[in-house]
Amino acid sequence: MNNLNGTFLPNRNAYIAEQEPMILHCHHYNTFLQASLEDTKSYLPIYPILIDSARDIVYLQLKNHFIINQIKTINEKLQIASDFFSFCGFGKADLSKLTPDGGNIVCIAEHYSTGWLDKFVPRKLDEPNVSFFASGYFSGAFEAIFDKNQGQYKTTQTKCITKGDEFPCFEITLNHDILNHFDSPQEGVFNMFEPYDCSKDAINADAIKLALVQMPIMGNHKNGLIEAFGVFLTRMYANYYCLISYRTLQKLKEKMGEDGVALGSKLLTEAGHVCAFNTFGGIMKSTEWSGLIKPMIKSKEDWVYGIVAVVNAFGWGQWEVLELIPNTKLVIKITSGYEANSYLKMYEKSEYPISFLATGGVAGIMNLIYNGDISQNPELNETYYQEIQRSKHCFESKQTYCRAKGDEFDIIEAILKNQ
Amino acid sequence: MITKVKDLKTWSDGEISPFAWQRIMFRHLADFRETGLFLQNIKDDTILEQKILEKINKSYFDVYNIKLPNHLFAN
Repeated sequence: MNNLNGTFLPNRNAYIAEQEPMILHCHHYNTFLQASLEDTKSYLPIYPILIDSARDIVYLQLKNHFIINQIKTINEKLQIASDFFSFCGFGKADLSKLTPDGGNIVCIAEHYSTGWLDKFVPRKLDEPNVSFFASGYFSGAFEAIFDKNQGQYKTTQTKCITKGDEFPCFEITLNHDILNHFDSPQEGVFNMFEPYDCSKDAINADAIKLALVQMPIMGNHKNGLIEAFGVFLTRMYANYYCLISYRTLQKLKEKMGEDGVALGSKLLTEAGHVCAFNTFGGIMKSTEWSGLIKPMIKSKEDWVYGIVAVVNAFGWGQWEVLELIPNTKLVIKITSGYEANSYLKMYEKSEYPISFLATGGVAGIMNLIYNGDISQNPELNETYYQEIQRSKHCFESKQTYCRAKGDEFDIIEAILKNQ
Repeated sequence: MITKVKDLKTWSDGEISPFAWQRIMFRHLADFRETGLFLQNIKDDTILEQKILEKINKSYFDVYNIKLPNHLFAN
């Protein structure tokens, strides 16, 4: 049987699970990105974007998986959807009691709920419940399992732990509203790169990548969450980030013109910076880093090369250091970045740079290493983050080459903000 | 009471984070537009009207659990 858990393709640095690229991201990024997009709720239809984007991707992925592998029984299909939800760190949901008419789901845990409570204040009672991704996942899975069209099931979150409930609960019903739906861009417009022999470099990037790819990063049996490197990780659909971000930007442009795009782009980039600070920082403080990478490190610059080697195991494409001036500048070239892959398939060309996660991430690397000092093992909390943000040595970054604008690859430069 | 963008930004940067004001602006892009304010026209000395300050105050509470201080917004 085709493995739905995915296969790592070393010549693209991508995990592909039934034509869907899956990438590693933490709850800081997931919840900050969602919170930023929710900020548009008073003037954009953001909630359908957050839910339907998940539904569109999951529907196509599972439908293809069931057809290709000739999976016919409903019980087996329900088990696969439930297992994959847990494998990816989305949480633990028992789907076995559901029927073609729908039913109720009680999750033992769910990533966005747990992640939100860890990062933000509880949601107000008059706000919508937090688990939009899971709602879309369940609708898409059900449509694939019961051989319906997209939009024929509706999932409503009925209980939410960010509002004081004990467990996240959902209700799936048949839907009679006419909904818009889109096809997932799947693997998008990707590139391949020539492997580079780095066995003689101080940092053996290939060995690091191989070790990380082979790590059993998956949801635990108890609650389906991935607790690693001090964060809750997910193996998230790359296209989920891309669909929710680019659909929102498109709506922003229609409604608010360039104002919306400019401010939206800044916040999407900040989400990437938040992600780098917490995930990269968490990794650089981890026992895995101490065991695998720290023994290779001879200088502060090696911390940069080490974390870039780690990124190449995240499924984000190929990151390569083009230039590093200590305390001053970092230039990263990205081949087959997931943001461009998806954007090019969805829209063909962009007028503005679109690799927001990568842009924030590159500044994050410099801020962790040369603004703060991750080698001194600081506590990665909000106070430290704000300290770094307010420092006169704070780095910011910009995308100077963008594949979605027609360039051959992406290039991101991080320099001192006050230079 | 006159509250300028600069006063609000300074308080927001100091009390919360340098990105907090941007998130609040993002929330209220449509409200700013209704009063004729476009992002490119929002400068440090732009005066914020009471009506939009009320909405901004609510957003700070919703997002960060914090209310605007009395010198910026009198309830």
